[in-house]
Amino acid sequence: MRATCARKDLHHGVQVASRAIAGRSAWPILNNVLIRTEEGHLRLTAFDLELGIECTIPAAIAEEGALTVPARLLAEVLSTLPEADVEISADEQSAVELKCQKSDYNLLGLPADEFRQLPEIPDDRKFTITQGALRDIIKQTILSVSTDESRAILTGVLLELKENEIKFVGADGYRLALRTATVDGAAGEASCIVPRRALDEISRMLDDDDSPVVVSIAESQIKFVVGGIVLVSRLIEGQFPNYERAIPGECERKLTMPTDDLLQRVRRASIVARENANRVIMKTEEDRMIITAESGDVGKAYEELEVVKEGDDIEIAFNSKYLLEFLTVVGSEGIVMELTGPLNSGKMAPVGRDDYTYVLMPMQIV
Amino acid sequence: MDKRRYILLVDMNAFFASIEQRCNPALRGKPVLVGGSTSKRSVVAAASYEARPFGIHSGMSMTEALLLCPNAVLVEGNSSKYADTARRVFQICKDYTDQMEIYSIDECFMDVTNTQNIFGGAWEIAKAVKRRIRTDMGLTCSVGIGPNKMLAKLASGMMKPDGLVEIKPEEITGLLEKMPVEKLHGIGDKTRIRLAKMGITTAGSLGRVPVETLQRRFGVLGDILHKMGNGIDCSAVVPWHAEPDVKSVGHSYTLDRNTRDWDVIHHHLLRLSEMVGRRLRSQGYAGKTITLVSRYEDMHTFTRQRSIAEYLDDGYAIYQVAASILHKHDAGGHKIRLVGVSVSNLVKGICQPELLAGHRYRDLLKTLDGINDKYGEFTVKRASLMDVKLRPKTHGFERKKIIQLVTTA
Repeated sequence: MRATCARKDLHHGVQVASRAIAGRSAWPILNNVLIRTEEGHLRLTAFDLELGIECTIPAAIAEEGALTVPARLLAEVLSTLPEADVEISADEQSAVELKCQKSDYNLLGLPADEFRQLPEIPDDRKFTITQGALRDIIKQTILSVSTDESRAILTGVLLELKENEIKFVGADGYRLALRTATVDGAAGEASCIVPRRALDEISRMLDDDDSPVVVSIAESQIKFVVGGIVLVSRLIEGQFPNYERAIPGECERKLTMPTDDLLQRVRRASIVARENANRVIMKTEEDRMIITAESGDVGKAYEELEVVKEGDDIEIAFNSKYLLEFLTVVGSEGIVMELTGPLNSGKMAPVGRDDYTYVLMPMQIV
Repeated sequence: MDKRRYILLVDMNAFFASIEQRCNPALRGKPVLVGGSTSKRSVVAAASYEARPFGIHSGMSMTEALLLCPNAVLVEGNSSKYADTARRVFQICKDYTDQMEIYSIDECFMDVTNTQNIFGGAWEIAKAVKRRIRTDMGLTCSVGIGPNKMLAKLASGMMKPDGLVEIKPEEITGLLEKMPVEKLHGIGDKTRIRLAKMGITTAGSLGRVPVETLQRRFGVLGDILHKMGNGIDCSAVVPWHAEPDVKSVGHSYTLDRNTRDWDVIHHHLLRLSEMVGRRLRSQGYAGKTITLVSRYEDMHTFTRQRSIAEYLDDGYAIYQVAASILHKHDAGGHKIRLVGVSVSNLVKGICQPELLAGHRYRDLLKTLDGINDKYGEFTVKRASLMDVKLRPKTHGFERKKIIQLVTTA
């Protein structure tokens, strides 16, 4: 195999694909990037068996074929080469040669036929959504995804596809974020758990615009196609807990308030709350909400803001970190809190929208 | 002003064995041996007074003890039961002074110098403590009264069981004159032999040796030995409330035999985690760093910790994290000898209930804690912690046995 391309293109391609290499694998081929010739292109693939990423770059093909080479090593060499064309080639013994002006590198590769191909994902269960919309949905649900390895099932987002609607649910045992959206070109029904890592990686690739992302779901994999990039991820196996049970029904006590005002005040109070497990106490008095935090080693915080209140007064404690994460991504001018009681979960949502719900368990004062 | 100090040492008599005899009338009047388990691998943790004439003492191996007294009844120790009883004993002592030092699970010092006037003197306090321990708990203790900790300890050992002895300052010289040195707390076998070689066998003769001679032979210990021989001990009673804050709560357990049977390992891991959870909740703590310890048959010990998002005080949640650490790092091959779980990075008075379980799970824990506080640890427990030993995954006719076991349990 022999091909010539711009250094910048090859470097970028290797960087994109190698996001699929999580760490140093004991199986050397999993640390390598596969480079294959196509008409007028090079196709780059990396796959650590959990996550695979594929992209193409323009190239002049002199001799067809494929090679694999350690991705980190190649990226490092490319990052320091001068801005010019590079020629990449491999011989029968998998020795890879990289030439650029007066630089010439021989890197040890592995045979391309040892590389594990990305699984084929059929298109019978799929939907199309804009990049901007998908980016927001992931941002608004991934905050609730657990990082606790002992609860594997909660380390991903539940994705449900039914007719023209998709539902994303993130839950870590203490809170839950639910986003719904209508989509185009939907086919079939699906319910699967997408690992956090796949969503993190796809988010990096998404622009804030209307260009499409096509998502296809198979029995144990999911595929995202964004521009010329394909991302395939393994799904988390198992039954997601019955989250609907955790969402409180309609409640008479409703508090409406400006998002940014609340965000600023909770953020400030959380400086004091930090030393006390992030606990902030919210208390309503007529049309005001008083936010306090206290820590024996630090001191006290007091904040006050105006709210529109329906129903009786309430006093309730929350983890400020969980509140802040929601307020940062909610993306609306105002929010509504529905609070049943100091021991019951609270429901929060953007004003005037019914596609985003955040449910948070209060802290108990022992 | 009276500068005299009044120190009491309360020493519970054959503590573990007496508790077992109190709980089980069938054991009363019989030689009872309490061990870590009823297997012969274990050692005697306590012997009842009925077993002592046979020459049995704590620390002896079960095999040896059973040779001396073949009729002895072996009882598996239950440390939470003993700790609970000890707590109640110490609570009684605290009613008479705030200067109470927990010396071991069955001994405590009380400095009643400042409170003895209120209660009619140190002797009256000692009598009251003994009476309350007997009527409230059905247990006996020996109390020693002295002008310092050393003499209080010496006095408590002079009449056992159920003794009460006071050593007054004017009696010290006469008492120590003929007292063998090994009766003094802190003089063990090695020191006794070295002193004997110098011709010193009694406390009185120890006191008369010039301090310089003792310092030359024993270094810094020489000064302490000289004071001991003269009945002097200036050390203070360090009260419980002067002890440092709790930094972590943990338990570990050596398995009955080395094993790779995950059912057994998980059983103990869950039991230990539930014990840790109970202790955390009883003191109002919750922690976010879970540490797992596993020791293998080759004595290699593995310790790994993980910090999680929330502060935990629920035994089952602690168990899930500990089990996940064990499975991630257990390389396989070697049998496991010991497992341990501890929780650190603690906060007090804070609890974040689970969303899916809701606050009702907290209510349940509270109710279970209430029952176990009243009737003893693990009165109500998870079914997986039941001690019914069944063969796993039994089918067919074995089912009958299971049903029999369950219905007669």
